[in-house]
Amino acid sequence: MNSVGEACTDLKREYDQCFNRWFAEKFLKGDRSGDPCTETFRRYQRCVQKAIKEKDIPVDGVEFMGPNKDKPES
Amino acid sequence: MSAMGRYFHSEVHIQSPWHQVLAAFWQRYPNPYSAHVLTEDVLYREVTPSNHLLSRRLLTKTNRLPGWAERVFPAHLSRAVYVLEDSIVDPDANTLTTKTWNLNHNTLMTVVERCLFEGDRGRPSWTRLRREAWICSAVYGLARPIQTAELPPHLHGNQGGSSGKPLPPPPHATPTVTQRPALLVCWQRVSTKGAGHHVSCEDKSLGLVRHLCSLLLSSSHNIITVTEKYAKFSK
Repeated sequence: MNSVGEACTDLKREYDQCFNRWFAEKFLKGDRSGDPCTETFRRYQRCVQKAIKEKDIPVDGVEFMGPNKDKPES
Repeated sequence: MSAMGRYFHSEVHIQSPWHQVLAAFWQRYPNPYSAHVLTEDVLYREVTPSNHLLSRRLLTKTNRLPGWAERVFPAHLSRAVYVLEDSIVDPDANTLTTKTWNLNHNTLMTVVERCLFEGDRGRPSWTRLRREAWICSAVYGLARPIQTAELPPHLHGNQGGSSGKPLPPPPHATPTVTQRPALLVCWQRVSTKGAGHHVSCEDKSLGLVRHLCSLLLSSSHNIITVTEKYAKFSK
């Protein structure tokens, strides 16, 4: 799958691979030993956040799990 | 701006264990049923002190309106739809909660979908999916079919009401009426059969609403289809 930033697709795929492995092999199995993907995520984010600003995509300041926050779970 | 809205909910059971549904959730794009999804990006991730995984994803989707709608709504012709998907994974409770909504085209329609994927405690190889959607439009021509469309006799779908207590709709949406609207059936049929599957809907406005709903509500449909058809997610 491509990234919204054309130049970011390779970085995105590298991060996705790292995340999917960590998610299945560590996170879901209760292993809390830490996130090995921090660095690849940072590289990917530097690229994609720039692309989002350039394309004027309105993601800034959008509250997590908004809109309509009338749900019972925390 | 006063908007007319509609609230829907349904429950389905997926014949896959929860961890497999989650793997499919993260990896479901691209897939043959989502040709309209152009890009996918993770914008935020965090593991909270209570060991919940929070994520935010941005999807962009093409928006090809029906011909007559392109003439009526020219501003929306060439613009992609931006969809945000926020999610919380609780690995101890075996739940995934997602909220998906469109960031633009809101003057045309806003669709908010909330999903809860929960491992079935009685049947560990199954996962329960509870879906809710709030569909709102301030455009008169769309608000009416959302709100008042009547059900043609041959379209009695299986509504699949939620087995739990239904959560209240957001303040601006009106409660469900007792009559099952054709839109709800369109939504269910589109969301179980996928975008692009022909559903006969009686009037053009309803067709546009169906088009927009299928564009914006495809996320949970994809998970069911992809999980059950693609063995690679079982690793």
